[in-house]
Amino acid sequence: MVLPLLGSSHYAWLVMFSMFVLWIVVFAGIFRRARWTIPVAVVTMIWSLVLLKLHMTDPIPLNF
Amino acid sequence: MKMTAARELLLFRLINLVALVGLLGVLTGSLDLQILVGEQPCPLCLLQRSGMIGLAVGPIMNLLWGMRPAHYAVSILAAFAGGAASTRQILLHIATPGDPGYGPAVAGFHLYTWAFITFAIGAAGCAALLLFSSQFSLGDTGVLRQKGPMRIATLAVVMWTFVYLVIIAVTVLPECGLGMCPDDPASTGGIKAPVGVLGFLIFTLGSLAIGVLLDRLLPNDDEELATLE
Repeated sequence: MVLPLLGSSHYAWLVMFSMFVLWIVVFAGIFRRARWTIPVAVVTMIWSLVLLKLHMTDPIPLNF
Repeated sequence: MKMTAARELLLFRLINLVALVGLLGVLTGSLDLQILVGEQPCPLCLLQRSGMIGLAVGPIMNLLWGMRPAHYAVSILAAFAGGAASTRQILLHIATPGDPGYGPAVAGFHLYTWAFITFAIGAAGCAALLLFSSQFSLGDTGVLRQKGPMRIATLAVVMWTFVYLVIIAVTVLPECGLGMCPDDPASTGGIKAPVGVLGFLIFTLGSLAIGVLLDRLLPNDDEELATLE
């Protein structure tokens, strides 16, 4: 149910912003020496890959 | 000549610190283009910045928490995530005949090409450092409890990185507004006043001041270093 929302222009800005908010949370974890820091960092990277996939609207020809 | 454990630890900390300063240099260049020149980052550029921040997390954790293979792994994964975005952007511009590329070229390469080179060097560097497994058996718990120049430098660079992260996050909002982030955002014209060097000096001195302040506030525990000698 989340992915269709990402296509809406009302949520798109929040989506890109959320990636950096997640990194700020990771930094907070580093400063607090929290055990959840590395899992959140991995989730943030996966989230950035999801955003990359959402942005891949134009196919790149493989015969260039 | 056999290196003492304390010297070995210092060497690996210095390598991580230099890597972090290098990443700060890359982020400084991109923010300089955005704020002073007025070139707004595209969505793929923002994803690459996210990768740069992730790449910095490994060295920061190594310095503040102590050397661990998992910290290098975080940087390698971030290099792959950021590298995927820069590869996508390079291929997009190669695939379109006559495409001059996005944004200005720096030393012959566009910023996304430099980003790809940075991610490749970052991943390779972390993999190379993982070969030196002795750094993980030194009982390192980070610089936070060891007063001195290394703690000041580390705290200054980490705070500087954090401030850049906040600036990047905040500037996403006016660029993207309430709609989709534009693929080819219009230039804002930048700041014409000569604030580049001044801004850099403010960042350098401000970060050092925070580093010195935190160094005085944080506790000191030299016992760990003494056991390494």
